[in-house]
Order: sequence, then C-alpha cells, then structure tokens
Amino acid sequence: MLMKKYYFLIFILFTIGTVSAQKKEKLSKEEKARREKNIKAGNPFIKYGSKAPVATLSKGKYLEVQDLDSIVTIGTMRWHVDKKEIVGRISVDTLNIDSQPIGDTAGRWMAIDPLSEEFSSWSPYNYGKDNPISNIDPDGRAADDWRNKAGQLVYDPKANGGKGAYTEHATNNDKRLGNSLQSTETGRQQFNKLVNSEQPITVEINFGSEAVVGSDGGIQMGITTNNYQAGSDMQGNVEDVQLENSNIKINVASIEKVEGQLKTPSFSKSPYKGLNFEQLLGVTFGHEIEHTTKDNILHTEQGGNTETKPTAVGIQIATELKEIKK
Amino acid sequence: MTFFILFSITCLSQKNEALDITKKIKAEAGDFLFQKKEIESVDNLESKISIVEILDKKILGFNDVGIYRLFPHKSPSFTYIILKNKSKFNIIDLKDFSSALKSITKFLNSSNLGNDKIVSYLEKILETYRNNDYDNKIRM
Repeated sequence: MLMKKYYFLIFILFTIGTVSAQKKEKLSKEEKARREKNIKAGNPFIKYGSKAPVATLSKGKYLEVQDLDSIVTIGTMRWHVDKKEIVGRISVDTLNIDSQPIGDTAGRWMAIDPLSEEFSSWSPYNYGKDNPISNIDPDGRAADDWRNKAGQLVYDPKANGGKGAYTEHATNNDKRLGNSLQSTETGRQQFNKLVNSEQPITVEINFGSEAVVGSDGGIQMGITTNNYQAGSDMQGNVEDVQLENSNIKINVASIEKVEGQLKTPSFSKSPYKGLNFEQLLGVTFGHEIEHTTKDNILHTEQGGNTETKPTAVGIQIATELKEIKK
Repeated sequence: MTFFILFSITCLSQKNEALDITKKIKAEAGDFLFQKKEIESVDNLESKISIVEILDKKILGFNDVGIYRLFPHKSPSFTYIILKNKSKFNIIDLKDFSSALKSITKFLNSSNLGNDKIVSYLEKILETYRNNDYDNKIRM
C-alpha cells in the first residue's frame, strides 16, 4: 500500500519533469515558415487536408523525409553515394516492356539531392544547376567557386583544360577585379584561394558614389562577411569551423578616396603609399579573400587577431607591386 | 528510488537553466550587435556571431564565471566583451575604455578570482582593445 503511494509520487515527479522540459522555443518568422514547410513535407496526409500538429520528430527543425538511401539508381547504374563507386548494373530486358527497371532512363535521379534544402529555388533533382556545360559536380557537394550576387559562376577553375577561365557571367568589372590580383605572386595565390574555396563566396562590387565609412569614422575599402558555426570538443574548446558561405564587398568610392588620402603627408608611412587605384583594388581584394579562409577564421575563433594575416597579405601584395614598378 | 528520481530531476532542471542563460546571452548579444550595426539582422544568429571565453577559449555554456569575447563574423568589425557571473551578465563596448574598465574592475572584484587570473584577464582585455584599433582611418 505504502509502495503504491510512492508510485503515484514518482508518476507526478516524472510528469512535472516532462512538462517543464517542454519549453517553447522562440522562433523567427523565417525559421517558423521553414519549419512549417518541413512539417508539411513530412505529412503524407496533407493532400487529404489533414494537418497534424507535429508530423516530424524534430518538430520541423530538420527535413526528415529525404530519401537518403546509400545506394541510388542512376540510369542503369547502382551508385553507392558513401563509397562513391558503382556497385552494380541493371541489365535491361529490351524484349519485355513490362519488366523495365525503375530508373532505366539515363540521367534520371532516383533520390533527391541531399543538399536540396540549401537550394530551395532549384529542383531537388537538378544537376549542376541545369547547366552541365558550364558546371560539373564531381562529388555532389555545394558549389564552391567565385560567384556573383545572383549566385552565378564567375570563374571556373576547371575550364580551359584545368587552367581556369572566366564564365559568360563574368562582367568586365569582375575581370578587372580578378586581374588586379594576378600581377603579383601573392595576389595569384589569393586568387586561387578564392576560386578553390571550401565554401561558396560571392563577390560584389559596390559602385556607390559615396565612400563607406564605419561608426568609428574609418573608411571601409572592403567588407567581408562569413557565415559559419564553430565546432567544439566535449570541454567546449573550439577545434573546427563549419563554413556555410562568404560575401566580399569591394567599395570602389572608398578605394578612390583612400587613393587621394594616401597622397597627403599624414599617410607618408603607409605601406600602401604610392599605389594607384588598380593596385589598391588588388590589395583590398587580396586582403578580403584572406578573411574568408578557414585558417584565418579558426585563428580568430581561437583568440587570434582577425586582421593580422589579411593585413600581412595586403602589405605583401603592395610590396611586390612596388618591386615590379622599380 | 525516490531520491534518485528527485536528484535526476534537479540535475536536469539545472542543465535547462544553464541552457536558458546561454540562449538569453546569445539573444541579447545579437540585439546588441544589431544596434551597433555590426550585423544586419538577428536571423540565423548562430552563423553570424561568436562568443568565446577570452582566456581558456571555450565557447559559451561551459563556464559559470568568465569574460568572453563577442564578435560578429565580419571584417572590419569590433570585438566586444561579455562579463558573465552565473546567471548575471553584462555586454561591454571597449571603445569608452574608462567606463568599460569600471565595469570590468567591479566584476573582477566580485568574482573571487586569484591575482594571476585577474592579471591574465586584464592583459587579454587590453589586447582586445588594441586589436580593435579604434583610431585606424583606413579599414579593409
């Protein structure tokens, strides 16, 4: 009898514990919409008008209905996505039209792209953004080259027999910006880091007539924004970063203003003194590219000064440019 | 049995409390950086900002008491300081250094830290202040 009383107490405590653990998350509008979309995708009865309050285990946080079979059928091939090898072939009985295997049409995906959620504007079954002439996708990962604001490929390092080439989306200004880096060895190294980066990097050229000035009054020649998440070990020490994407903005009016200021005596000791607009463009671009590298991001996360390496790169490019001038 | 269950629930509730404080600090840090125009929105905050202990370089959520660097994933930008003592925390802009120093001193006095640790903290804060390079007129 006494034990029964305890059972009731234990039941009450469990209930309190469970209820208190069900705290409601605060979600932004976008996150809420995304989760609702994921919940809808996970509800097979939506077409009959049934809206279950929770259709997924993660409450919509993750898309849980992707077909992520490790072996997929592509045409007549059986492809193992983890081992990255063909594990079998389907022999087609051409005499019996009813015995055709599923997916017997060449080039048809039988599973959606595992990264499809990151590219919601594209079909989850597309290959190379529907442009197999310009784009190749050897490992199924996201695009990782120099992109413009619209996400189009500007430079393809695999084109021209592996030597690399600008694509049809590259504007004259893109080429001018890229070429501003190519005149020095350090600049070329930075260019290679950009076009072979781990994450997609968009580059914008800001042609606004006013120089961009920060809250501290400093003229901002270039601005880099990185989206990433730091990964830590069990003790909380940062040991890696998961890069998502980066954006570099080159402010033309700011560079023009700095070019003028560098001619004044107040900047007589500046390492960039004597450089023209084109050269300052290259210095700025090289500096900003260094900010997008995993090395520099990890260095910053682990307590280092985020500007040390990019500044050294900019000064090195400036020094090499001056040597060429001599 | 009852003791074990009560003990488990107490531990779990403490863990939840620590998580709540971490979430609260992150949310307030996001609003702070948004007001300072260091970030353009507070969506997807996990990918836009970092909060890392200034001395032992651990991410937020592992130390009860500590001084943290708060910085957006952007350049140029400034690094700010978060003083955390259990559930209390204070976000500080080092630009007004004399005012910042008062808050830091008050925090260090109330945290019962040893002299060596106080000196190490002060050194790191000065390094952060210098790295912010407030007088630089040309920024990349």
